[in-house]
Amino acid sequence: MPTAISISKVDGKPGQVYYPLEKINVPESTPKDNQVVVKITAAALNHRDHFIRQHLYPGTTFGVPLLADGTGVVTSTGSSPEAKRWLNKRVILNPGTGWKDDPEGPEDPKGYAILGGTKLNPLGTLVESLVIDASELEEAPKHLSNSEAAALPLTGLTAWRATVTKSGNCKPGRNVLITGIGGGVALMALLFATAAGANVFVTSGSQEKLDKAKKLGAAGGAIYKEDDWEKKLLEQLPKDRKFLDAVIDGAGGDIVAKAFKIMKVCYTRLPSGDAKLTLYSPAV
Amino acid sequence: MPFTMAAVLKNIDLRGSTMGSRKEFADMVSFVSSKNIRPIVSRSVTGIDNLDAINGLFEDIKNGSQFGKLVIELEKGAEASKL
Repeated sequence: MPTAISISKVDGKPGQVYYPLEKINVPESTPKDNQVVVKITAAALNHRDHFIRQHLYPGTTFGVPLLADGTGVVTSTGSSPEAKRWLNKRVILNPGTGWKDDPEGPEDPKGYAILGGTKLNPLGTLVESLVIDASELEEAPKHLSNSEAAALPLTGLTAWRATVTKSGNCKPGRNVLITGIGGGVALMALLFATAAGANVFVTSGSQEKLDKAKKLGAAGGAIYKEDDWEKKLLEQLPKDRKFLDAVIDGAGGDIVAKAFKIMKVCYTRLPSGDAKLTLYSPAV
Repeated sequence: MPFTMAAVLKNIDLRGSTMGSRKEFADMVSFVSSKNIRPIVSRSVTGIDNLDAINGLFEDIKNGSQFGKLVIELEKGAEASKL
C-alpha cells in the first residue's frame, strides 16, 4: 500500500490548532480504462496547506494525502488507448477537478475541487503513487527538474488565469505591478509577464526579495511598508508610459487606494483596453 | 478593502481570480515549455518519511521567509540518476 502524509486529528479550535503530520497508508487501487498509475517523484506546498493544518481551509479533513502539486512517472495504465499513450511518460498533474474550459468559472456546481487534504477530493500528491484520469495529465516540460516540475501546477495555473486571462495586460510594453513578490503565484506571474514582454514592477516587504525579483526580470520595485511606495514606483516607470496598466495582487489591504493613483485613466474608446486590478486568492 | 470612488472615476476594473480551468492549465504548461520558463524553487527536502524536514517547509511558509516554492522530493538522488 502506498505511503502518504496527511494531518492527524488533535483537539483544538480552527485557527488555534496546528494538526501534526501523520504517515498513513492509502489503499492500492487498479486503474480503470481511462486511468493511469503515477509514481510521484516530487510534490510541493502551497499556502492552503498551511491553512489546512490550522483547520482554516474549507473541507479540511484527516486521512487524505496532503498537497495539490505533484509530478511523477506513469508506471501502468488502464486499457484505453488514451491511457496507454502515457505509459513511462514524465507528467505533471492538473491540481484540481470540476473546471473544464468555461472562461467564467467552474462548470461543476460544487465548484473547483483542489487536490490535497480536504473532503472535496480524495487525492493528494504527498503520496508514493496515485491513480488518476489520464485526462488530468500534461507532459512535464523537458527543461524542468522534478523539483521545478512539482513547483509549477497550482501557482502556475493561478498566476496564468490572473495575469494572462483576467488582467488582459500580459503583453509587450504594458506596465504590470505584481505585489508581494516572493510568494509562488507572484513569482509565476512575474515570469509569465516578463516572458510576454511586459514591464514588470514588484513590491515586497524586503529589499532582498526586490533584488532577487530584478534578477528574474523585474524592471523595478518598491518596499510596500514605506508610506509613499506608489510615488517611488511612479518614478521608475518608463518615460513614455507613466502609469500602470494592471496590478496583480494577492493581499488586499490598501492596494486599491494606493495603486489607483498611478493606474491608467481608462476611457472605453481606448483600443488598448481597460486598466485591470486583478486580485487572486491568497490561499494559493 | 475599500474600492474608492476615485478608482471608479478612473474606470478601473477590479477582478477576482482563483485557480483556473483544465484548458488554462494546458495553455500555461505549453507557454512554460515554449518560453523555457523555470519555476523558482526556494528549497527542497528529500523523503516522504522525513517529517521533520517537511515540517521545516511549513515553517518557511509560516514565517514568510520563502522565495519561491517549497518542494518534497520523494526519491533520494532522483535528480542525479536522471543525469
